[in-house]
Amino acid sequence: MTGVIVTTINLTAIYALVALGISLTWAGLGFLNMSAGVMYAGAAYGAWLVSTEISTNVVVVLLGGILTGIVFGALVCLTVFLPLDGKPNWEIRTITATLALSFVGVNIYQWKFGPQFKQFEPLFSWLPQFRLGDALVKSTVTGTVIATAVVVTIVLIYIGSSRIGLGVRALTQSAEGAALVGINRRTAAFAILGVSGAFVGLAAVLLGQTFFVEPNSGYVPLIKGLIVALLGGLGSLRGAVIAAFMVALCEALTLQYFGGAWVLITLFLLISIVLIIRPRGVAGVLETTRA
Amino acid sequence: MPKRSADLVHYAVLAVVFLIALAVPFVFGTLSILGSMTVFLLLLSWSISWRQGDKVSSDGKPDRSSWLFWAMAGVIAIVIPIIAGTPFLLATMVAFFIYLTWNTMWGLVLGTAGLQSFATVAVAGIAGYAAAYMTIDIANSNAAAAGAECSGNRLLGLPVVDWWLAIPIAAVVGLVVGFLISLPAIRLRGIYFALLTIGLVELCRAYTGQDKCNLGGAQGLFGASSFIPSEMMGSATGYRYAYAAAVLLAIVTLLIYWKVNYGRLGLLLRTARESEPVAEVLGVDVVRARMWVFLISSSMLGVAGGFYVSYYKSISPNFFNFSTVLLLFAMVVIGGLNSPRGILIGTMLLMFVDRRFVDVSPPEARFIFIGLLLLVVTLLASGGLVSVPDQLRHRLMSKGKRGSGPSAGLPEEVGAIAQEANMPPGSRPGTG
Repeated sequence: MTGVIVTTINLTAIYALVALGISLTWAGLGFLNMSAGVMYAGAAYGAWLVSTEISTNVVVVLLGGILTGIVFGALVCLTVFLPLDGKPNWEIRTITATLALSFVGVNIYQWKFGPQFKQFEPLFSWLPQFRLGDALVKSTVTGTVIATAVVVTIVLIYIGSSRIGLGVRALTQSAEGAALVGINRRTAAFAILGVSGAFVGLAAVLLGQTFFVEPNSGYVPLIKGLIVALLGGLGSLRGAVIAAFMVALCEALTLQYFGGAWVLITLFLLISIVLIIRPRGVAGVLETTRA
Repeated sequence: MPKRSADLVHYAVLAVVFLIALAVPFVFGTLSILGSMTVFLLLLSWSISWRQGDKVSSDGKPDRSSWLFWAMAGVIAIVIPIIAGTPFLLATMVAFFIYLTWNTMWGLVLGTAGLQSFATVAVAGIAGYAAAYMTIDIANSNAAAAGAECSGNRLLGLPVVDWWLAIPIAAVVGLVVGFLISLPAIRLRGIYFALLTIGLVELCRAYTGQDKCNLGGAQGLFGASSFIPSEMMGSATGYRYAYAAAVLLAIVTLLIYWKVNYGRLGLLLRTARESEPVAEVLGVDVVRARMWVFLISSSMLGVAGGFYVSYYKSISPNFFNFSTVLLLFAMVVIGGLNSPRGILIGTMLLMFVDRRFVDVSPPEARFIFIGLLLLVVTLLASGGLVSVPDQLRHRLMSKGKRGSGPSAGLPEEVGAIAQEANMPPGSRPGTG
């Protein structure tokens, strides 16, 4: 049972990261970033290149992943948000554009890196392993939790105290209100997509400790990130964390008692049930209060 | 220039383009006719909408002058097997008509009803699997291979049937799946529904890959009963037979689209799409209308799924790959998802690009090109390729009368609505 708890905590951290990126983009900019998967794979390749070409130091590799993620976030901002902002058919066009971007990205990875699996050197092997009840807490899990906590704290402080962060918060509250007090939507867009890229990039390096990196490796995190973001209620950061925990628990229990093949099936049942009971997600009050 | 002679010049130019398009396959090989005809139909569609001006909205009542477009599309469908009837091209065209069927029905849900459903591939695939299962005695052929794992019994003791019974069964399966999908659509909106349906496709892929005994696992089902008589199989006659059947399928689909989109149901769905509260106040039963569009489109998706299996004689979990969803989605949106013309042109265009560059090295270049094409069209054209003339006209209009806002010449309220429609969804009051 403690094994389930350890897996849950590990997965919660990673899913929450991807979902926070997606949720923040929705709340601040009003579009669903379907290219989060390609940002994820890109950051994983970036970090992998850093670890093979520059240094295997844990901080350098993590920074490599996060910075690549930020670059990808800026790219999405330049190619999707800025050209489409304020244009007709916004909803379907942003979905199409981000899907197109992910289609292009996956094929570029396939072309440049080939279909072979890339594996990271273990980053956290210097951390101690310890036992919790009858389960062994691997150093990767400890590292994941610490790294997530550090990065999320830094981002929260940045959003909470900087001037751009103030704009981002205003934008997530009300787009009209933010415009009225003179907040530049475009600057804030870069900040929002940068932060979401940083989260996704960190998640890519952390999950890269357990799974191989390949061109399509962003697809499953994208689907899970979307599931978590929607389950939590789009735009709610607290909801995203709660939903990440629910999804991780569901996955850990399924892994323990049914096996890996059943994970998607139980997850699908979970989201169907939650969304039918609460169509706006666990904490989805945002849209009703806005309207 | 007087109007009559301008018309004459106009039609002469189109006729010349058509003749050039006809000549292209003799120079560049048979497949190029798909590309040249795409260009011709796109030009024709542009000229029709440009000349129509603001008289008819982009989606609304059927535009009377579009008869020329559909007449030409029919002519092209007849001409292709005559002047470029190689087995390879005919096989490509059969695939094209199957895709066209799926895309048109998807357009009904995505465009007319405005529901962001990605379940198309799931419905077609489940129906296809059902058709394949009904015509293949998998239990017996697998029981030997998989050993004691599989019981060797068919589900519910179902009999093995021929294709002519399997396709109606696929339609019924599609109908049932469509009904099940429409249930959450009553409560879920927009993005939430999109996710649920993407998840459904992924679930189908995971499940079909797992079930070795009934669905053949990762290899899928093969050896289904084909509608092409066995003595014609692989011959030129067989391909022409399949072509004719696929054309028939596409015609039925387009008639259904026409009936729904331009009929009463389409009107109700568009009202509900634009504003649900308004539709409800007007007494529209939104839930009922949406359920109907799901039932109609899903049963046709099922027919096409059964047709697919009966033509290719196999189906595998790869059918549910996300890249299939993406390719079909690109076909629907690149031409313009609110008009049958746009869906036809988009499907033709991407079908041509997909097949023409199939042996380009590196193989990824083709997909990168398709992705970039989709991205560029999405960023520049507000409603797909066919909407370009309307967009241009609006731009020219607003340039000519600068100072009175983007919708110069319109009454004040209409201008306000047009401005509101330009806002991102999150900032629009009153819509959830």
